[in-house]
Amino acid sequence: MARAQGKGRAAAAQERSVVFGRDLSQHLYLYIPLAVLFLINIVPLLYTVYLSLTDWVLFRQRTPTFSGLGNWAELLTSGRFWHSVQVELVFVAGSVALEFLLGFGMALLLNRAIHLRELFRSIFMFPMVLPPIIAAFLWRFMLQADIGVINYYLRFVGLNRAFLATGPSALATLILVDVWQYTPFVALLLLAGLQHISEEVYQAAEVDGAGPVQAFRYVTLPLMIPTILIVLLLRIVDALKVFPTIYVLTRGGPGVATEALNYLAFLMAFEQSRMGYGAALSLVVMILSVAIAILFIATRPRVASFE
Amino acid sequence: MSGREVIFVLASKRTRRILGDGLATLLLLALVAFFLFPVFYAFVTSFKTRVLAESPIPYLLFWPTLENYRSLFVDNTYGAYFLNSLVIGLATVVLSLLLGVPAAYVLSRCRFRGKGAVLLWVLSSRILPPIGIAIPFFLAYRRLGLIDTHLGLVIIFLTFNVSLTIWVMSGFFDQIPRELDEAAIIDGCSLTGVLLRVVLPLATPGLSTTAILVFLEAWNNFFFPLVVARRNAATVPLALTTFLGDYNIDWGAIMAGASLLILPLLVFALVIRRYLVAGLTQGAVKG
Repeated sequence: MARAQGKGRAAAAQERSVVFGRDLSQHLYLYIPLAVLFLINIVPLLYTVYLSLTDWVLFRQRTPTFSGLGNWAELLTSGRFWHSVQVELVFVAGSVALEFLLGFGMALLLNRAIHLRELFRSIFMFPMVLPPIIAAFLWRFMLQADIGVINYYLRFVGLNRAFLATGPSALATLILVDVWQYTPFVALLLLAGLQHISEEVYQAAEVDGAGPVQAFRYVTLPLMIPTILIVLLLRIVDALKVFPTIYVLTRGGPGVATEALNYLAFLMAFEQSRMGYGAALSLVVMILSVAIAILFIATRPRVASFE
Repeated sequence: MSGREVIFVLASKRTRRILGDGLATLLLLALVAFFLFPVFYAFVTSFKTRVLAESPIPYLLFWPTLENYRSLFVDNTYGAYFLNSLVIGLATVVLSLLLGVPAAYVLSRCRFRGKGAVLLWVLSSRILPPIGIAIPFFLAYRRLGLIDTHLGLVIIFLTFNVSLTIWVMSGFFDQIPRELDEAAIIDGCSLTGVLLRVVLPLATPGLSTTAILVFLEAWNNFFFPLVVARRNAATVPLALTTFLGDYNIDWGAIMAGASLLILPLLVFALVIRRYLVAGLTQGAVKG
């Protein structure tokens, strides 16, 4: 998107746009949606905070009873909670790192002036628009231990295995599905960044005697940092929400091996009907996301020139 | 040609480029296979009989059957879930645009105190994990009788789609020169008039992109239906998972359902391919 106008021009344009100042409808246009957002975002959030300070087992108690920090104390001393934090972090780190490396490679390939580039680009858009639940089903079907197509081929080289039977390999499978679905997204976003680097910078580097490796190290990478930051943060925030793939592929199993935070919160709130404890758990997910968001906002000024 | 000449040709820049491009194309083709195969295989499986779908040998040549599609619609009332998904998706699109587009316009054009905070708040609602608001919605819906209703799902889908609309549309509005609005205002047009007659006609690509993105979000969402819908308002993702995919999975039927769910998405992805990636980042790269 062409937002190339300098700061000065944008400010001047804003200065001039005070003509809008007198129109009453602008307030309606802005405040009605904001009121709705307040009602459906902020109010539920505050209620979740309140719930996290209460004890409320649905169907057993009619109303929540205040329990102070009881849920939080239970949470912080629970081995199952810390385990799920660990699962969450391994999943996020593993999938985002792989998506980034693979995606960067793809972006570099797509950045060459090759035939069919537009076709490739269009095809790579497919996985990211699929419902995660469908991505999970496709892979669950292909990864079945006995009748799955992947094991059918792996059997020829003796590498067939029950992918979801052990903890580490189940977690690796979840990462694989995420990588399959979102690597193209990372690649296309990075490609957009690469295409913003002008040819002249590379020519200048070549004149200075830089080979392809040096050009990548000293031209491409530094200029890509804003894009890279955005890509990483977007993916991290989204990967933290992992749920449908777990629901379809592992149900948190085997045992509790792939029980990430969202899934644990879902179990506590909606299968064990412990609203207060579930609320506390869901707030942990939220705190993690907000921490990432703050990191994102802190880096925002540096990315203002992108696109 | 002597050996030295061959080396010279290989080392020449042009040859290197051609070889490099060939290699890049090959690698990309391998990646296309990796990213498309699961979708292709699902599509193929949807035409297999149950015996074939569960055979350990992945036949690619077989006599196709529409049995899975028949069973979806006749035995599993898949049509009703499809209709649910469609109705709920469209209602979400209409309401999100009605609420989000005017707000995006005001945020793009008008100056007021606290604008930065408002933008930040709107962006932050995208970052919040759905589980955080699911519990209060579930509890409120139990009281209000909105569990397992279309209305309930539409409202809960607005929680992230209104802000998505605001972000994506304000990005598109920012690209339309303000001078146009100002000329119209000087000619006596009201703010509403400017939006409807001047700005929106110019922002049609943005409008359709946003509509499709919102529709995708609603169409693809699994978590909220799982929490607040049961059978009556079940959307396709929920129906596939809970009614077909729980025990004794009928893979052929699942793959048929998945294919039907995927098909419109692939069309949409192609329609908005120019804006898709920017749209999915939801304004984050707007600068």
